Amino acid sequence: MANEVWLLAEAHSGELTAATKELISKAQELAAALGGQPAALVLSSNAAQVAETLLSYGLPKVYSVENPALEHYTTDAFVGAAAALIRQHQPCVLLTGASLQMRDFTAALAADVDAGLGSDCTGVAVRDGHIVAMRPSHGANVINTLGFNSDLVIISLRRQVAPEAQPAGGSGEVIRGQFPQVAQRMRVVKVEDKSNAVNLADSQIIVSGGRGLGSAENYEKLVPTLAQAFNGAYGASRAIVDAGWVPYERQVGQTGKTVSPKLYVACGISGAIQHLAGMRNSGTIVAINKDPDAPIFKVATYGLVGDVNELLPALTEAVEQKTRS
Amino acid sequence: MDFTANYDMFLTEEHEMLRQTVRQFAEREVQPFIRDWDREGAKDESDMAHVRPVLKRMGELGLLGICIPERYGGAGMDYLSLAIVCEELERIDTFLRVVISVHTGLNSLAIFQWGSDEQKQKYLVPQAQGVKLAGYCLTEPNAGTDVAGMQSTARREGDYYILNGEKTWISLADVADHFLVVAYTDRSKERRGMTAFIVERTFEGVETHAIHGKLGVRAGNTGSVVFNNVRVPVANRLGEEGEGFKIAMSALDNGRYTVAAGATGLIQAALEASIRYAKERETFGQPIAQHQLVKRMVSHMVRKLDTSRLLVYRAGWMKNQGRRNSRETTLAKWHATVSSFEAADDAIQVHGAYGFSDEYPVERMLRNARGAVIYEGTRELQELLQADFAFGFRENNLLRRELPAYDPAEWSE
Amino acid sequence: MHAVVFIKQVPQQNSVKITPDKQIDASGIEPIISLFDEYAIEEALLQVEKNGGKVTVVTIGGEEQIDALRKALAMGADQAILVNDPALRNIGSLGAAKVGAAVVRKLGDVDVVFCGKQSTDDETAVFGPAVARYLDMPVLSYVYKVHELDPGAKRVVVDRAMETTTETVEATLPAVLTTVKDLNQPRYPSLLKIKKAQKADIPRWTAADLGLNTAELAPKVTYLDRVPPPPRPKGSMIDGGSAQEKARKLVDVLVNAQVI
Repeated sequence: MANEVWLLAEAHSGELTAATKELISKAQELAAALGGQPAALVLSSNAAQVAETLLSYGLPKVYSVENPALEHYTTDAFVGAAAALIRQHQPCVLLTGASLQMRDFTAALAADVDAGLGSDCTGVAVRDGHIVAMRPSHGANVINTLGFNSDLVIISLRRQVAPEAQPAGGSGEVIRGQFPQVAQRMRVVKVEDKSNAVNLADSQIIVSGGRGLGSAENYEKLVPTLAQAFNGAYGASRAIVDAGWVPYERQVGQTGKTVSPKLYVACGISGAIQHLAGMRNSGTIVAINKDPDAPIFKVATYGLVGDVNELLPALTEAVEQKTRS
Repeated sequence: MDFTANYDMFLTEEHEMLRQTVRQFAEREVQPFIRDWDREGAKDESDMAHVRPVLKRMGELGLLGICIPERYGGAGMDYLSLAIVCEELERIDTFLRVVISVHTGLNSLAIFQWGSDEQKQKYLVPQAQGVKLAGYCLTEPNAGTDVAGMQSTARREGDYYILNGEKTWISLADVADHFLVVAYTDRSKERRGMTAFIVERTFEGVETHAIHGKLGVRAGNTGSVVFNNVRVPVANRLGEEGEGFKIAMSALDNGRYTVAAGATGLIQAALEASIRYAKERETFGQPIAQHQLVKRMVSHMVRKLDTSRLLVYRAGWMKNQGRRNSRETTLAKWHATVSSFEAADDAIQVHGAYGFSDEYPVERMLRNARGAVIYEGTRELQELLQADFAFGFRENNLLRRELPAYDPAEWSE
Repeated sequence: MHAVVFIKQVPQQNSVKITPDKQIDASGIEPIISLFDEYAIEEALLQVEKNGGKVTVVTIGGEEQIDALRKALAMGADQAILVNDPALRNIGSLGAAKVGAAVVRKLGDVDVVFCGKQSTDDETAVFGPAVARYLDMPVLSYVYKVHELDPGAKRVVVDRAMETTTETVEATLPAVLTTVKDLNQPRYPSLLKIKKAQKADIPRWTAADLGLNTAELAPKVTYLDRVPPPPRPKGSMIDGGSAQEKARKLVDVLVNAQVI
């Protein structure tokens, strides 16, 4: 068994994603601690190009499979290709991002190659020569430290767990794998960008609104405007998603999206446990609420007591002024 | 904690699943909107647009025929299920429970108890299915507790009775399709001269209008029903001529039961809101839940909740057995309604000034609870009844037709 | 068609305690069907109403899970199975998926398997894709719309809700579908079915009934520690006379802290 720490690299229009750059740093760190080597795995319809980019980050090895079937993600094609390479080269760790595709991929892959799996982790490290991973569960009310007793450990990692790697030049080798015979049972018919969709998980600043806004009209009028002033994205509490004010894709919270932006502004959100689960790991939390006893203030870095319908326009104005000056 | 746990001497898993279902419905489809509906309902020009869709959903879910046998279009559950539906509905808002009280408790169960098979087919089946809505017309502008003081009359003319009079404080007045109406057919016989009728809204001469400016239950429709020479077919007479008073009183045994159960739900809502708030709100460096006088208010709510619930379930158990339960039902109604008003009052106190605003639900609970201390038998009437039962001046007398005992097998046929 | 739905009962709120021996203690918290599984049940019922057939709901766990199964029956599922074997406790998501695959194999004639995208307690999102892999079926995860599910033509077309895109994907049946919120509107239990569900006979299956070698189900993940999240540092309140003043102060503070 090779002491190799792999990362699954993802690229958009030839550019490595920010998540991938974090994974490169993390793989390098883990490999050093384990006395092994980092390596990237790229599965793509233009893998050769991505592999070259990866080498420029100083990785000694890039495993690559190129095939038209890998243009769009399907579980069958990606897991089939990855499993074949893993069986052949036997890495000890595989890191991936924690996007929905990657969580689908890691689950099926772990089943296929009989690996230990840490899903949606917030940290991974080497302790006494062994991999340990941190993952929250129960709506971020429990932080689990996972240990593994398998030959291969697969970890899907959330963002902001390592610095993004920088290109360092390199002379590593690309190892090309064959695209294996896999049953073509799935086909991506089309991929559509959601209108106005923002990836809340990737946003640095998020403004969210809740029931305290009083109506869907107030939400529409005030929350996106403030988010725009901050150059951020906007979300919502479950209460107003359930009330039909805002579509589900904007819901922050345990049954919606889990986010950890640099700045989270909660407007008229009381702070139910289900909401806190989705945002309590944000860097700075601003809470704006009429009720000074609202639980949201318990997690807030800065609190403003008052009517959101007055404070939000004032805040939008103040932010715009600051940006202009 | 779960305040509905440990009632296994009365309740089954079936009741528990029913409770979860009704709770989910009320929390999902009413709670998010109830403050707005309550505000809106206070306006004179309000069209109460929310009422019919909610009633339609309650009908679809089978709540309106909860304790009516399946062969009459109901869910075929027992009388304790009726109490659970009322508890869970009034835990969110009183107007929901009022629907069950008049449609199911006062009207449908009266038809189930006293109606002919034709009447059950024609009126009970669509009511139990929730296709038609039903109200109950007893109170008049000049006759509340003093039922014998009513002025409505029904004069026999061939195959019809000619009904005249005005009924007021009628829940669902503008919405109900069928009314159970009590009027004098022979005033000289006083109580024994009253007769009950099933009147359809579409009968010529029926007019209704809403009452505005209510203290509570603003999300619900209440109004007056006027009968102007309404021709009611003899086939629509419920029971015999002269049985109207007994029918009205037996209906109240069912209505009061639902009011008592609902009040229990309101106490629970007041208690839950108080617990939530007292754990969050801090004064003098600690949550107010740590202050002794707040603890006292909460502990009194717990006492009122459990005693009310036990009294309600005892009455429900007796109904299931087919036993007369006027004494037990009026005691439950008296205790639970008075307790619910006190619990809502204390809940406001726990919330401090916030409790005085409709940001929190407790002021609505107080306004809603007040009515039930008056309607379907005032607090004072219930007190007198209990003394009369205790002295032996009054007994649970048998009726010509009793409310049928619950039969799980037969009711599911 | 035969649709199988895997469901799990979870605590309604996640305010669980951690015991001294690092187990999760959810006592005193109302148990419910995991949110996303309700959408799975509803979708199975809708598809079977359209195509004819039956819905089987399955849970792996102890006797306390029976309430979730009865609720699914009261919603309209035709039969329920509880896989209850002490040897199958704490086997992790992958172990549970192996058991799930064995259940589907034993049932035999399954056209489609539904489950929620993840449970709301462990939140691993592993079960669906893994059970598909063990069964050698395609998996369509994060389904938020089913365009077509035709057991005759053995074809399913769905929309998957990804972070910033919607993917329309077709696959062959049998397949595993994992469901997201708002895929449909889960129905309430019917009062008539509540009564029947209480009397329904729910078979208990063991590892032996499924022909499973429990040694092969040993988890590859161990819990070294479990702790509550660290408390956030105490915040400060921004005061001011007017809304404008408070807003200006907040922006200054955020700028000074280099947050914006």
